[in-house]
Amino acid sequence: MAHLAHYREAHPAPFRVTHWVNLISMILLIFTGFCIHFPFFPEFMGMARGVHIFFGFVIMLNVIVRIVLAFFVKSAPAAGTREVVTDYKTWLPQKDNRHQLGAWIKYYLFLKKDHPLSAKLGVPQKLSYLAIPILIAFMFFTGLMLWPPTANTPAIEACINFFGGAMSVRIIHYFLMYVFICFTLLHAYLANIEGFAPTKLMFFGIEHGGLTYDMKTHNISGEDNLGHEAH
Amino acid sequence: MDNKATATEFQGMLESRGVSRRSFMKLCGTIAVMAGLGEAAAPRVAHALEESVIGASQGDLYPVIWIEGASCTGCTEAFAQIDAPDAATVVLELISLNYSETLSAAAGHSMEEAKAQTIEAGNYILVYEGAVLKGWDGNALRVADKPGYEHLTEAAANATAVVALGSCAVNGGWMAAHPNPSNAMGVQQFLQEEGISTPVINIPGCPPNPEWLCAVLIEYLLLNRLPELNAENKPTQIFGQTIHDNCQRRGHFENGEFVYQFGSPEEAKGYCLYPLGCRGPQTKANCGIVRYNHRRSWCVEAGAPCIGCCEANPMNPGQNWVEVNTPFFKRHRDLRVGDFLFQPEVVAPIVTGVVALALVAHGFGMKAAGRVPKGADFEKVRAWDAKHPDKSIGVYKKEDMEAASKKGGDK
Repeated sequence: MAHLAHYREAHPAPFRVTHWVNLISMILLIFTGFCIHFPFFPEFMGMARGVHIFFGFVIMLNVIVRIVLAFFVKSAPAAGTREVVTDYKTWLPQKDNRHQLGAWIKYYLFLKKDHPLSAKLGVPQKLSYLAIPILIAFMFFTGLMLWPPTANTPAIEACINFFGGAMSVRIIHYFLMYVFICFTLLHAYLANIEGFAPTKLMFFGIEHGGLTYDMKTHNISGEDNLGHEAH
Repeated sequence: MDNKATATEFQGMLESRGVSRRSFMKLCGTIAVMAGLGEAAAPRVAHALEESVIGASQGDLYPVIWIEGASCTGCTEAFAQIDAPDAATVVLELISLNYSETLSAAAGHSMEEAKAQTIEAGNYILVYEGAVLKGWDGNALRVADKPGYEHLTEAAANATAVVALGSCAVNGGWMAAHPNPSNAMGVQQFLQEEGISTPVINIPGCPPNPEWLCAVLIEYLLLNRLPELNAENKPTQIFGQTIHDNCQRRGHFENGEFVYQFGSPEEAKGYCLYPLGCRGPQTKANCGIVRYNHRRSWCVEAGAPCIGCCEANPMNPGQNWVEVNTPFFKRHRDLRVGDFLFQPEVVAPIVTGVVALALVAHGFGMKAAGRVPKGADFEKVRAWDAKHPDKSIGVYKKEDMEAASKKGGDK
């Protein structure tokens, strides 16, 4: 029994919705982005551009909504507990994370056998989840630099020149897409390699029994198999 | 003869050069539009042309100096290679072109003297063609026993305005492409470094359309004002929109009808050239409206994707159109690391593929380590806590802590 219990408090409903919106937007943006970069499906070109621009705004709004919600919605700071705190606190370094970056890296490089103790988000997760909103905002901005209605305004024209012209902006936009693809690969891999429980919880709100975690001792405190047989 | 209508003196001049009244009026219409007046102002422009120094049959013509820096003379050629003397040529001839390396009949000392006199008298327009070379103390280009850029410094200081004609003059163009050993740059940047504040009008293009220069010269001479310029000092009327905005193939782009290969049936149908690397969507110029060679055709109409020759950031020679747009038929430029050139669309998928393979390999590792699907057992004590029991984050069972400390000590 190595898992912590997966309680709904870790991913309350509003965040499951924003996660869905993120996923759908990302898939559509990446697919239509490829179509715009090179018309692999020529008939789809017009629609691809419309969808791409629409979901570009959707994902940016979603990021803003998610960040604002972080200050209003409460969520669990660790798996295995139903205690909740205001969500933004789970984005910032927690006591449970302290000194654990090295342990995480060692664990994934097979230099450490046992699983590091952690908060809901491990140190590498926290770093990447802090980077992603910034990357999406920057990606959105490079999109504005390529979309004629905004690209033709003097302020944004100056930004385009700062980045070395429209061609450079296009390439930055293109490379960033691959950053998101790589992130998604890593994210999906790490979330699922030790079982699908985190995915079932994040997408469908399905709980899963496991070890419990005490926020006061920052340590595992027992077990809660949610009335199911231990597995 | 007295009962016959007589043409004006100006019309006689036009006719003597083979220009009909009709084509002259057409030119006036174009100029009016380019100057932002609207086509209805064509008669006013025609009248002003007849009355102005441009059309003068006596007295002083407005002086223009045309200097070539590091140029291929293509800009001059674009001007000069017109099959019959038409209205544009007339306008040019009626300006007093006091110095031009290519077009002037004179050469040598007498030419340089004519230039010096014009500069001294002031109130002239300087047209500068080609890049400014600063390399080897300016000796990368030497003209009349002086570093090339000194000619620009002298002529620009006294000029009413400098027209940087062609992409090389705007920011170095071809000349500034990697590795740029001659340290080529554009006129505006050079003059700024020299502290010369004469206004610069940038007209990029390789070559620029002669009608663009006509429009600028005539707007200045007629209305006594410089054209409205954007942040890059390019005339807004000419360089305000992209090729793509006004492209005659735009309908095919919207329909999703593309040419993927030269010589294909799609090409014969005149479909959109986007997949062949057309730079229309990112290049600002009104080529599709003004067109070339007497408005006969232009690159995209002739079946060639736009190669973005009007891309030129006056203050950044590195953003020259050649480096920004080569290879022309690919959707992206090449990126450079040292002497190694690569395409973004090759490198990015390779890196992503490596990441994906690494994850697959890691997955096998996780399986071998017995962490799939349940993960490893949790550590009883955080490794750092075991080493620093006095500052421990977690609260652990005493025996766990002791065991962990011992283990830590063993390491």
